[in-house]
Amino acid sequence: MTLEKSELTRREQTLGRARSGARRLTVPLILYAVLAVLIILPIALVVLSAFSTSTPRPGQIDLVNLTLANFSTLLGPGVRGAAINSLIVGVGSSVLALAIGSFLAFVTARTNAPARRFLYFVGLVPMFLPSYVGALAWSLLGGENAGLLNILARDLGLPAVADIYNISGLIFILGLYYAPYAFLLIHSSLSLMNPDLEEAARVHGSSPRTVLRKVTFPLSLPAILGAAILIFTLTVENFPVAQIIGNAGRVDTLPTYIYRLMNAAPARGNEAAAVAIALVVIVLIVTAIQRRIVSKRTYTTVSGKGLRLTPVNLGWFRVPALVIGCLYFALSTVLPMLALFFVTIHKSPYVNTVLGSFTSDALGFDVFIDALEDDVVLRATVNSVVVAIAAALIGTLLSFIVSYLVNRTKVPGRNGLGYISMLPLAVPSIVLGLGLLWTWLMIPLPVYGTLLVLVIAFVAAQLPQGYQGASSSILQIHGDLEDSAVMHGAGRVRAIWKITAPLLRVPLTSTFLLLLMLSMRELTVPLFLFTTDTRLISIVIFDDFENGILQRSAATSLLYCVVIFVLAYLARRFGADQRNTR
Amino acid sequence: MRKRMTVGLAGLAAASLLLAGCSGGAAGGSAETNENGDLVIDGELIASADVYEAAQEEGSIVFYTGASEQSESDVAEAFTEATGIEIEIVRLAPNKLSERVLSERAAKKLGADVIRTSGEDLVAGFADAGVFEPVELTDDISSALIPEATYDDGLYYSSFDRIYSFGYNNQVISDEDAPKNWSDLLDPEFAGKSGIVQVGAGGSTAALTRFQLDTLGQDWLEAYAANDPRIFDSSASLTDSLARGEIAVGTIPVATAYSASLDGAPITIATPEEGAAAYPFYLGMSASTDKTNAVTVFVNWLLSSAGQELAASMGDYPVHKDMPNPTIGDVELPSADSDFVHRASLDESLDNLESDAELWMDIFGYTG
Repeated sequence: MTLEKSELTRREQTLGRARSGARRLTVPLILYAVLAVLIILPIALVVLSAFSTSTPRPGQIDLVNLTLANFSTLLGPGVRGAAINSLIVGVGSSVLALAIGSFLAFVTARTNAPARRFLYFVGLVPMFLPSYVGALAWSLLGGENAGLLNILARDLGLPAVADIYNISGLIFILGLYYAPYAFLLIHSSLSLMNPDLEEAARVHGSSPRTVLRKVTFPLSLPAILGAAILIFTLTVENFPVAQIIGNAGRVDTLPTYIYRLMNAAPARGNEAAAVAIALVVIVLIVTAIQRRIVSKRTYTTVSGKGLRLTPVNLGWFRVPALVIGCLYFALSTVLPMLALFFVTIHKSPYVNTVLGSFTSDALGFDVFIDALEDDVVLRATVNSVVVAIAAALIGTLLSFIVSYLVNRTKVPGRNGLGYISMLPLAVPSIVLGLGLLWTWLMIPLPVYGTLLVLVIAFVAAQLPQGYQGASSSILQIHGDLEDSAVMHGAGRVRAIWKITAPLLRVPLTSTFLLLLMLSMRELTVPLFLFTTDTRLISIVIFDDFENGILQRSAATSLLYCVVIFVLAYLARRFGADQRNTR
Repeated sequence: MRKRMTVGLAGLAAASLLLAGCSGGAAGGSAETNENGDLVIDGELIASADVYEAAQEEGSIVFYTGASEQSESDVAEAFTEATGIEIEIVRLAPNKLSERVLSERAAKKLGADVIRTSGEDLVAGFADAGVFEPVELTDDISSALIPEATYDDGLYYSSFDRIYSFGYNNQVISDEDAPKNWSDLLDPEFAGKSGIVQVGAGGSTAALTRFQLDTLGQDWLEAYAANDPRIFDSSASLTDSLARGEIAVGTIPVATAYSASLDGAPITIATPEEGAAAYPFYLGMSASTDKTNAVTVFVNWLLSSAGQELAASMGDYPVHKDMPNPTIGDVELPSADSDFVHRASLDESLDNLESDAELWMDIFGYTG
């Protein structure tokens, strides 16, 4: 009897264990399936079509005629030139962005420069300007013959001052608009640094300069390197700026080359896929180099949160530092906004004189009002907001689940989920967009041609950012809190809902905001995915630019910036309220 | 302060939404119907009463077009003025239009009600993919068309021949220095100041290249390339750059440049002695439209004398019999059968398409 009973219990236990084992596997399996469709399949399709003779379309996937012929494109002078340009642009604009970003970060975080709050704002604001709006504005400002700056110079009897349509112009614009990434990363590293280390150096007689050189700089090196790699990958894969500036200056980069192959008639998608793989390889090599450098040493910079760091006295350089900050503000934000505004309110699309416009009857708000009333623009604005909010919500949720599984549980295969989530970081947007197009044309669900496909694409493309954000916040909260709830009889899901999620509300809100902003700005990922009814505002701006309707493009850009600023403002208020109620 | 500004902007956005909501077009246009309610313009029956009435109810139609936005908005405006039916233009360079149409069609999401594009290969691709559905032309219209305008037994039509010539910015170049003929474009003074559209953009550029190779010779094209021209993705963006003075001279479709010049673009269009390239813009009704009647009215109107006179007034060669020669402002273009108009036959276009494109890319050092 007892034997039977214990046998029974044992059997029940085994059964229960098996059942709970199966249950333990359900969630990761579902997640693997989701990530496979979101990320693995698009990438696999790009790889496959690089070796295939036909572009994937419904009923047209071809596994038989595999070939290496597409890769012969890579050996042509076109790709070689584009690859070299991409490298030059990536390195050049990373150096420029780092110089601007680290200067502003240092000045605002660690010195006694005047108006530091304003300078912080200056460092951050270009983040909210999509780089292609900047490029569009600069193409209006800096065109060799018809740029507003040159027309103004002509009005004043001066020689031409600007020529943006060349590789230096491309580097300049990318450097301007990616500097905020360097600024933010380096700023947080500088302000969270443990002051004990600097203090120790100072106590031992080091001059402020030596402290900076021997302690501060080495300590912020990981942040600088991290920013460098991030900016390099982002600028190397940047499509719209290269298209707007480079195309006119006959500077091809790999992304513009892929775009052109895709738009050839008939489309040369297979060769585009082969070039795409080359682009991915470049990004992977650079990332690997960074990992090697950073992983050689361990860096513990953040440990003394809340302690005040001694500001560095800039002395005579206080005012010049502010002037340099203002110059950056003028170039990145003020001038471009003014250019867009001027072109929008200039009655004729063709400007002969800047100064003369103010005295004659050349200005009016007709174009801007037309753009505001335009059904296409309004629909696109609504589409953009809807897609961005949906993508940010789903993206945050998915990132949270994946990150929780990876960081808090011991389910088998959890690390794989983390790796897959980070994968899109190495895949340039234009390549991912290509893969997503083919994926959703192939999958027999009526998703292509709806806003949903854009939401899916944004979630996939921004999963790395979401996952990183969610992970860093989950790691900040000790698992014991949640575990004690479970000890007291709560189910795991209830414990997460009642303990972990509320604690994470603020960091998850900021992850949501990050994804929202990224989605609002995105142009490249939806470039191949949109249809006429699902145009986003970024697409409308780009299409108008490509169709030579610069004035409407400028007017829509202004509206776009307003929408982004309003969203950012509302989001910040919302985020701040969260903090207050906690 | 900042908050007030935000509220103000939100108010502005809300106000504009309201405005947009109120600006719906009233039904019925300025064109008069006869006692039966048929739409008759210039003595031609455009639509019978039942079609016209049904078209009014169907409302606005989506028009995918590879022709320039400016010229097409002039067309759409005139049509809406006449019939009250609104047109929403989706303009893309023909190569991109083709990719969009084929992808949307394959996914059963084609957003177009009616499509116009250049490019013999592109339009044949549409026909093969089942993109088109025949439009019923009225007897007045079908009998007025020249026979060459009907393709695939009426699956689609040629709506006019557009002319590809060149032009210059008349504020950058004075009249005495202005290039008159193709040979003048080779002048070294235009080095770095000229432009051309890449060969793969559409039927337009294919026709231009055919004309240049056939009539002006490969040497001419090589010499033009030696002047280091800026290469554009579409004639629309080239025209804009020319108008803004980014480039001084460039190859342009006449109607594109002319409609831009009506909007104030300082462009003078050349009518060179060597002639110019002509290429058809094909027109067909989308098989996925649910606005058959409105599209039928639109297509009949485009091919009627009213639509064709408008085309001729923008420098396009009509496909309607007994139309005047096209004009660009005060300049009348030579007749369609003159030496000026170089139009390759369908076979000639298709046969040379690939080899011309390869040669062009080779000459201009353009890859892709």
